[in-house]
Amino acid sequence: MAEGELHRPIYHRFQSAQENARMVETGKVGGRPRRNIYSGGPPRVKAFIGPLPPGYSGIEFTTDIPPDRGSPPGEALWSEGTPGVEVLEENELVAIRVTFLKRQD
Amino acid sequence: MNTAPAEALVADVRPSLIVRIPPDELERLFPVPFVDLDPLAAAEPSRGALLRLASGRMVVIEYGLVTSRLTVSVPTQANIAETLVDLLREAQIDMDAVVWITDEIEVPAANVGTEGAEIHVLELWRTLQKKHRSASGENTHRS
Repeated sequence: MAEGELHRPIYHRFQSAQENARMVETGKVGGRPRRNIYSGGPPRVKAFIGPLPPGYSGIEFTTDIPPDRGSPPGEALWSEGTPGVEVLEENELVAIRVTFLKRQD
Repeated sequence: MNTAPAEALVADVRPSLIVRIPPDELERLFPVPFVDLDPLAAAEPSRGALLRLASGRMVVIEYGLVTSRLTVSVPTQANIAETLVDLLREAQIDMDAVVWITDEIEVPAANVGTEGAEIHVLELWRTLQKKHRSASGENTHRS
């Protein structure tokens, strides 16, 4: 871990080894909307705040891109249309560039 | 309550209430079919449903399979307090299970009525206002 990363917020996601591999390979964490639940809302990257607990499959990362304001406690969201959020497929897929700190498969 | 098709709600939603409940309690409170979310649509493996309440109002519920957190989200144009009252009429959520409620909620004085759900949501709101500060730093995981 670089020295500057010690002071950046840490986030994590619980996900499969397949998703871990895909994200680490691209250097990005992606997000999609819940289209099979409801039709509205932009795609968002979603993560929990804090380090990845031991024993769970997932990733731990940091990023300079600030999450949306007003997220529920312990959660971080990055919505399409906010600074730093890349639109890969309009209204369907966004991503943020991150530095991975840990990967547990 | 019933589930509604995804196209029934075209507005965005706001997370409004988070509770932590075991899977069997989830099934008891919400006896509806859930669908798996896309892995990129949540921060953990999750299941969800769009509920149409008896009042006609809708809520999105999302359950995290790792953290056992149930997030209730209310459409952006809907009144959060009124929607939660409607939800609590149909699902008696234990207040001890609640870990967060949005600070956007406003319970109008008119809602201090005699109906159980109205009293329940008012108690919920008061309890959670106290919890709100500590919830900001709460651990997202089961201990």
